[in-house]
Order: sequence, then structure tokens, then C-alpha cells
Amino acid sequence: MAAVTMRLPAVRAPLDCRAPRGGEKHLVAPGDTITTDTGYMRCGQQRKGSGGGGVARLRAVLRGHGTFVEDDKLIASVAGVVERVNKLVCVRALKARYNGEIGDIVVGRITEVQQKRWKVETNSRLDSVLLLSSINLPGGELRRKSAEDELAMRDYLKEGDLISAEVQSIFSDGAVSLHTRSLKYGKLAQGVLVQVSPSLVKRQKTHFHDLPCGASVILGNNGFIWIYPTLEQKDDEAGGYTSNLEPVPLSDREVISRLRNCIVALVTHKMMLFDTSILYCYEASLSHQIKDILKPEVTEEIVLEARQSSGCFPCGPEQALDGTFG
Amino acid sequence: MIAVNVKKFFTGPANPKEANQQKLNNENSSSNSPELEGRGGEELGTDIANTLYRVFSCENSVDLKSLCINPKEHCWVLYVDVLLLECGGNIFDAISIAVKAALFNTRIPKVRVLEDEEGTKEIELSDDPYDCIRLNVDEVPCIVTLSKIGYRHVVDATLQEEACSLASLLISVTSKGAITSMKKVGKGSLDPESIFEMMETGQRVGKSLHIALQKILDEEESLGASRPKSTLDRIGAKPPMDRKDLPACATADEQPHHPEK
Repeated sequence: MAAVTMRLPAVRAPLDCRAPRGGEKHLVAPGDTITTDTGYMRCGQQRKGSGGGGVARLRAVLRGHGTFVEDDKLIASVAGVVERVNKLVCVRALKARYNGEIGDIVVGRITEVQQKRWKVETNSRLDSVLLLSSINLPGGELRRKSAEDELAMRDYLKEGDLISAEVQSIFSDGAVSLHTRSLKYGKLAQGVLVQVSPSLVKRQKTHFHDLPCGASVILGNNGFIWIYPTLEQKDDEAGGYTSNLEPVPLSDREVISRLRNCIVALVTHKMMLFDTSILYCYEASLSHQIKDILKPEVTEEIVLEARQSSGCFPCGPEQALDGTFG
Repeated sequence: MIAVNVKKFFTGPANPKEANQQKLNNENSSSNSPELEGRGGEELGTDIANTLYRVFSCENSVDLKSLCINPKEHCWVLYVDVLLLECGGNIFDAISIAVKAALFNTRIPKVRVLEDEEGTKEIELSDDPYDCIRLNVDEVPCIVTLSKIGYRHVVDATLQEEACSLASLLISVTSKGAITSMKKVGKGSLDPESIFEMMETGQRVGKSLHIALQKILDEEESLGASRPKSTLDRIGAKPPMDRKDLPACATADEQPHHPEK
């Protein structure tokens, strides 16, 4: 039976936001004053009539990214969290592209195959780079890559493939260099990709989770979340390049669809994403049909229930900003 | 997200054969995506316009006789402008629903053309701004897009689902389930049997779509003046007045303009 639902447009009510755990965050929106203390501090002795003899001047505040000075006030130019390191004041934007940090797990899509490297799209300002020397060859062998390997690059990874990798280093222009030198990274086979804002993924010790509901999830720091059916046995010799293309059973597919909708529901309400939050949301959604999870009223109900059942787990700073201006 | 504006233009006997018309035009807002900025959106725009022309090419879709004022002399021409603000997949369906809703909402004032002794014609508009005629949108079709993914087809595809689909079928269905036009898009091919299946699904979905849409339109109608104002009303968006035509929802404070005869 075809079920079509329509509704009249209505103003979306902001979800009640409690203070996030982990201390007060100084949130600003574009145009907000961060501090008025931008004047110079004087140090050293003043000498009258010294005719140009300098008085050493120190700035009270160093302007970092996301700020500008107007009328002797330091004003934010982006919406985000104020970060202070000694005298440096900068604003870290919330809705920004992914800024790579060494050790982050990312999920990316191969866009180009070049000489000795692949270009990977990771939702950052520049395409990330995966060097041929940074991958594990199929079979797990470790050897120096030769010219034949270079010619056979497309057999390992071609355009459109999804990979999970770790950030190895960052180039001077900000481009991120990835590596898959571990058996847990590599090409991703069947699953569902959800793209969210990078600031909603909580930094944790591990980003690979096997959820008890029957699926596994990789929470990439760049905002790409990969949900896939849990592998029955761990293939240690595989080296991460064999694709398991067997048909996935219906029950697994349903779990994955439900998880995907739960993640989308959490993202709509700007909640932080980590394994516990996704799991609580999944459990709260079991009473509804999978396709109903995306309806606004059901989304709100599920997210509220998930928050209550877990105590107050932190809502992202974006939600606090939403509350201020919603 | 789509904004549709229906403007009525009072026309003289310059083109008696083209009397009782409906013209369609559309525009893409560049806030959609960078590819649609400037000249990029033209192709999509002409595509949408042509599809809508084809959908409304059936004579019965809109009762054009009701647009007539004096036979062979004066009539109303409806201009439908579609502005695409945000594209989230399945734009044709959304556009056709928006056009049907806009036509339902259109209020055409009642005018009479009086002839003086010297033969000059005077246009008389009734004083009551709410004295207007409404269009009958029962026969206006809605487009249902069926996208073929793998061996099955889906309705109301999102952007990601559209990216996975190689071929789609656009069917325009009236509220009674009659198909007025059909168009195949995409670079893939469709099996004739799957086309029949898609047509049946499209008819079924189309009928439910019309029922749901009519329910919502009646609900909004019953709210009357207490309906929540949209953002466009609040910022006072008005169509440009240099065309000397009347806006779709006549508001009490606007002075109607008439073209010089």
C-alpha cells in the first residue's frame, strides 16, 4: 500500500539543551565580541623626553583564526568555540571542513589514481593523499613497491572505492596524508555511508565499534560514518583488500537501516555521535518502524528518550548555538 | 524547497487564437549548488519547463474556459514561475505538487468589461477584494518519478538514491489515476515489463499523493486567516509591479493595476 504523508510547514522548535558535560564552552556567533582587552600592555620603564626611546609594548591578545579586530574589540567571524592558548585567541568553527590531525581515523572515497598515489576525498579543504608506499599489499606482504606495483595500482583501489585509513602526516598546505598500514584499515565492502559534520563525531580511543545489535560501525573523524554487517570471522591473511560481496541477509539489512536512520536522527538534533549514543538511540527506536524514525515528531521522541536513558550525554556545541538563535 | 508564483495577466484580443493560455517559466536559484550558478542551471530549467508543458498539454488538466472574460476578446493568461531553492532529490514531483498547490491557491478577481458610447472599453473590478473565482484543480496531474535501482524501482528518491539509479520514469497522474504523460530519463535502459510495473506503481502512488495533497490543501484553506504566515509573507516579498499584473493571492492593501487598452 502506498503511504503518502504531507504536512503543512511549521516552525521547528529547538530541542531543550542542557549544558554539555565537560565544563562551560565559550560559544560565539559571527559578530559576537570575544574580548575587549585588545590594547597594548606596557612593560619596561617609561622615560619622559627620551625622544623616540621605545617603550616595549606587548599585545594583550594575539588574534588567531576566526577573529578580527574592530573598534578595539576582538570579534568572532565564525560560529564556534573560543579557544585560548596563553595569549592566542582563536575561534574553532563548528561547521567547517575536516581538519586533519595525526592519528585520526578517516573514511574516504578514492577520487583519482595518480602516479604512486591515490587522491582520497575526505570532506577536507584539499583532497587527502594515500601514497603507494603507505598501503598494505593484498596478502599482507611487506615489500618495497616496484614499478609493476605502480602499474597495478588500479587493481588494488580504483575511483569510487571507499577506504578506512589513518592520518599519517599533514603536508604544509594542510593536505592530509593517509596510511592503511594495519589490517583493520583497507577497502570497505558492503555497507552504508552517512555523511555528517566532523564536529559531531566525538574523539575516542577507538573508532571501530562492533555494536551488540548486530552491525558494526566506523566513526570517521572526518564525519564519514560507515555502517556494515559484522564479519563472522576475522580474516587475518586478507590484508584488507578482499571484498566480501555475498548477499547480506535481510535481518542484517534491517539493523543497518535502523542504525542509519538513528544516526540521521541524532544529527538532526545535533547530538554528539559515539557508540553509546548510537546504541541508546537504536534501543529507543525499536518500538517504531524503521521508516518512521525520520518523521520529525518520532525523531524528537527517540532522541529525548535516548538522552534520558543515558543520563545527560553531551549534546554537541552546535546544539547550544541552535538554542540561542533557533 | 520550491517557490511557485502564479501571475495573471489580462490580455486583449491581440492573439484571439491564443486566448486562454497558461505559460510556464522557471528559474533556478544559485543557492542550490555551485553547478547551477549563472548559466549552469539553464539546462535543468528548460528540462523542467518542457516537462511541465508536456504534463499540462492535456486539454482537461486546467479548465481554461474559466479564464475567459469575453469570448474572443479578453481572457486571463496565467504565468507560472517556479523558483528552485533547494534540491534534495525528486524535484519534478515536488515541482508538480507545488504547481498544483499554487493553482489551487490562485484567486482570480471577477472583472467585467463595459463598453462606452464611443466604443472605448472600461474594465470594472469588483470592490470586494475577496470576490474572486478559483480554479478547479481536480484534473491537474502530479508527476511521480520512479527510479530503477538494480532490479526494483523506488519512488521519491533522495539525491543519493538518484545517484545510484541509471534510469527513471516520470509519469504524470491525475487524481483519478489517468496517466497524461510519460517520460524516460537517464542513460540506462528500461525493460518493457518493468515499464508496465512502474506505470502501475506510479498510478497507485499518484492516487494516494492526490488524496494526501487535497487533504492538506483543504486543511490550509480551513485555517483561513489564522494560517501561520510564511517567511515570504513576513519579509513582504512582492512580485515586481512593472509588469502591471495582479499577484496570485490578492491582498487587501494592494491596488490592482490594469494595462492600458
